[in-house]
Formats: sequence, C-alpha cells, structure tokens
Amino acid sequence: MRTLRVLALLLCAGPAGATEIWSSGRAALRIGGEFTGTVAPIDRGYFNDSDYGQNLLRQARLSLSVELAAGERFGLLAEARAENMENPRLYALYLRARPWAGKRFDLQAGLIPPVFGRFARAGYGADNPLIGDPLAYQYLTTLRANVLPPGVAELLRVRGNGWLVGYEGYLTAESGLPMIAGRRWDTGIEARVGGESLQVAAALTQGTLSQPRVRDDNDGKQVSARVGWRPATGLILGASGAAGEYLEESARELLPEFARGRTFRQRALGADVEYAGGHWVLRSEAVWTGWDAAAASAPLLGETLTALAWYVEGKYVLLPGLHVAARYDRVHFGDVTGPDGPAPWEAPVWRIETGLGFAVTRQVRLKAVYQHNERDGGFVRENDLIAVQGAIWF
Amino acid sequence: MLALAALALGAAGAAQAQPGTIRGRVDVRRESAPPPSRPSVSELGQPRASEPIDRRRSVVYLEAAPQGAFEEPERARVVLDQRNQTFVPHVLAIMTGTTVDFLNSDSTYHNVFSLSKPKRFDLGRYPRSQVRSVRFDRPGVVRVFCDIHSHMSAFILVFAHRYFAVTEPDGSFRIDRVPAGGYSLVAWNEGQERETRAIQVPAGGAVEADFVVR
Repeated sequence: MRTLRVLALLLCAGPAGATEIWSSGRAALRIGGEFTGTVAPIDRGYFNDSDYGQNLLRQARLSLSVELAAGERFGLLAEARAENMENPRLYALYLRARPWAGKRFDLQAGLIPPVFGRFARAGYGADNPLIGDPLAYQYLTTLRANVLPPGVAELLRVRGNGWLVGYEGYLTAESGLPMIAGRRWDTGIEARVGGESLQVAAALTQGTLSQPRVRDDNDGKQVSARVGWRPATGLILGASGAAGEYLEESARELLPEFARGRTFRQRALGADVEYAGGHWVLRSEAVWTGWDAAAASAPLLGETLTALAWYVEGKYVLLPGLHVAARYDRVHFGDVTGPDGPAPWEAPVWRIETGLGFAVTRQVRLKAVYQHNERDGGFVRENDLIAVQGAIWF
Repeated sequence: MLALAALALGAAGAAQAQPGTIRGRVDVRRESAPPPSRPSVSELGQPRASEPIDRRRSVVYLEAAPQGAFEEPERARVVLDQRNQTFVPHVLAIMTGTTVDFLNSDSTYHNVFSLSKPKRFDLGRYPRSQVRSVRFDRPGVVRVFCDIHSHMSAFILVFAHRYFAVTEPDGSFRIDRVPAGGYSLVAWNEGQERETRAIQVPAGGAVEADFVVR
C-alpha cells in the first residue's frame, strides 16, 4: 500500500518535469524514476525467472533514482527498486568523483554499475527494445554458491531446473546462479579512464558476476575490466574479463577436508558489439564463463563448469515512436563426465523474442513481444509466451 | 462598384504603407525547470557535460493575425544545431513552410525525433557534419528530443503568420510591419503561454508591451 502511495505521488509529480528538486550554489538534487508493468501468461518453464525470485514477464516494478551532485566533479547516486509491491531494495548506491578537473578519469565506490559487458548497464526500460533480458544476464543455471552437489550424477539429474535447485541431501531448494546477475549490482570500487574513442574501466568488487554481494563472505575479491573502442561513429566494440571467488563460506565448510584450502573462482570473458545507423540498431554479445566446480566428492571436484551464451539483437524504427525488434539468444554448457559418458552439465537453452514498441508520448511507452523458449531438459522443455508492457518514466 | 473596389484597395494600400511596430521586453524572473533528465546511475563516470541553456529566451507573438490574400508561404531554411549534446538554439520560431536543417556538430550520433501533434518525425541516427531536414507545414509547438541523449530538448514554434519574435539575451523584442489594429499579444516561455495582453498597434507608430514572467 505504501508503495502504491509513493507511485501515485511520483506519477502525479513526474510529468510536470521537475526533476531537479533542490539546488544551492553548485549543489543539486535530482530525481528520476520509472514504473513498468508487464503481464504475460504463467511461464511454466520458468525461463524468465531472475535470481531474486521474480519472473521478468510478470512484474510490476517501480524504480526511483537520485543524484546529489556537488559541482561537476562529485556526486552521490542511488537507485531503489520495488518489484511486485514488495519492500524496496537498493540497486545502486555509490559515490562518484572526478579527482582531476579536465582529466577523463572517474572513480566510483559503493554499490556500483558493472563494468563487464554491455547489457547490465542498460538500466532503463527504453534501453531494452524488447521485454525479456538476454539469457546470459538472467537465465538460472543449476549451480548454487551456498551448497555443493554431491556428484556428477546429481548435477546431471537436476538439469533444466535452475529456478529451484534442490540437490539430494539438502532440505532446502533455491534458485541457481545466472552467468551474470543483470539485475543486481556488486559492491566495490571502479575506475574509468579514456575519451570517446577508447575507454578502459576496471573494478574490484566483493562478489562475482553471478553472485554480486554487499558483504564479502569468502575473503575473495573479483577483478573485472572492460575495454570499449569506437573505431567509427555508430560502431562500438567491447571486450571484458572478470575473475573472482564465488563459493560462499557456508558451502566451503561442506567440502572434503583436503579441498578446504582451495579457491573456487568464476572466470568470464565477454565480447560485445553495437552498430547503429539511420533507423537501425544492431547489437550482439558473447559471454563465456567457467566456475571451478565445488562438490562433495571427486571427480566433479576440480572440474570447470563452463557456459557460453550469445545473442544477436536488432531494432528498427518503422515510424516516429514505433519500432520493431528481435533477439536470438542461446546458451551452451560444457561437458562433464557422467555415468554414461560426457554430457553437458546443464541443459542447453535457446530463445527467440520478437516484438514491437510504441511511444504514446516521450515518457509513456508500450511494448508487446512474442517469446519462444526451448531447453534440452527440465520438466517443461519449451513454451511460447506473449507479454505486454507499459512503462512511464520521468 | 469599381470606385468602391478602388477605394478598398486604396485603403488596404494605405494600411500596408503605414504598418506599426510592437516592441518591449520579457523579463523572466523565474528560472524554468529543466526538461526531464534522469540521474545517470548506470554510467561508469561523469557523463559528458552539455552546454548551458538560456531558458530566459521567450517568444512573443500575435495570437491571431491578418494574412494577405496573396501571401506566399515561407520557403525559408534555418539550422538547428546539435552541439556538445545541446540543441542550439533551444527555442526556434518559424513560419509554416520553413525547413529546419538539423545539423550534427558532435562527434557522436544523435537521433532527433518529435512526437508532437503538429509534426511527428524520427530522423534516425546520423554522424557528425551530416544534416537531416524537416519541413514544418502545420502551426503549433513542436518539442524536439534526441533518442540517445535524454537531456537534449528544444522547442520549435511554428506560426501561420510572420508576427512573432524570439527575445534577445536581454529580453527585448521587436515585431515590425504589423498592420494597424487591435490584437492579443502572447508571451511564451519554456512550453507555456505565460501572459496574454490586448494591444492596439497605431498606424505608422509603435506600441510598447513589457512582460514579467515569474
């Protein structure tokens, strides 16, 4: 109810355009926000579930962002989100500084935007021409960071059930890790240097791509970096890398005695490209990641569980305010040696999503998509979904 | 009959020969709220700074104005530049029939669009030094934005007559060659008609009209 009241207040205040709510000298406080409501039939295959327990095609989301700027060089930024009328959670909270005026060197510290890849920084609804997120940033695998699969056979048994993974021998079932948690940001410090044609960004954070954290619980930090190059106007090429310890302390205690001193890392490499011109925007991203497998016993213990995801996405503006878009998306998983020989440790998935978007006004947008999902495992191996989304931002 | 017609033509000619002037000043005392611009939470650093916008520029115009029977529609061209992620000028006033050339002077793409009723358009993304043009044939207020940079916005006021002026940096304005008569004069600033005033333009003379926008 409280969320509804806040929403009503913001929607009334928003279209007036008063986003700078306070200023004094060179300091200013600005707010922005977005309300997004998405409806779709029940996703019985849980293809669109996120790691915080929400289905992205059946969601009402209110986000409120705030920027307290102190001159041109310092700022405090925050964003809070409330999904499906639940209590708001903090999505971003960090300090931004440009230590030297005139130098393109920026520092950000706190709950910060990720440097890896492209999609996770495309925060606003209008940045996504469709409704669903790319699989690399959302799809839940059957790997968990807080418990250990007893062995290969058990890992293969739960294939395709990443939305709720319950390994044998554990009382609780939880969602597994995505390759990259696109809707949760990590805590740490990052630096960016460079101009418009070449940018380098690097971060040191508490968690990993699949397991962002506010507090570190395994004494391992993640290092991540991205180089972005713009060889020509409209063409952006990016290369990213990350490595960090993902296994939680509670799971470490379940390891066999001889393996307790080991580190269990998630490593990732990414490449992204965007080409835009005229009424076209084309994007593609590929992400490879590998997790050092932590298990209660060999031979799974010591293996690397790998995943490779890629997507190609296009958007075309047909008429002022009206666009069409499509995305083809796949995730492949590496083999492990099971009882019947080598087999992918998780069920491969692919998705095609196509749809259109219409801007009623600049700040009110509607989208409708058709999404087809297929998976080589799990209870529901394929489904077709139609989703409609309305968004208002200010 | 012929004599009557000649008289009428003569009277019209005399009125055209003796137009008046409207001059004055619009004093904008309240800084208008900036257009919707969102905190840059997902940026990896400070976004590029844009040029300061002079939001005190106003437009003064006649609400309804006489139009000659044989008046030709405007065929003018004007430039609306995109420079340092800012539309320059921020306010443009033109006559129907005018073509606006949207020049991109930045090294990044811009994507000019408008969803305003008088003219909906989307010019797509285009690089530095390139121009995309739009002809405005219907009067009204057209709000212009960039689809890539949400903080960029401009106003184009399209008139069916030529009796309008954009204020100078000091707020002064002057509308010449106005046929003598009574009119409603409007002062507009940042998307709103701030004040309307009845004025009488004397033949061959000038009328003063000052506005204060609070």
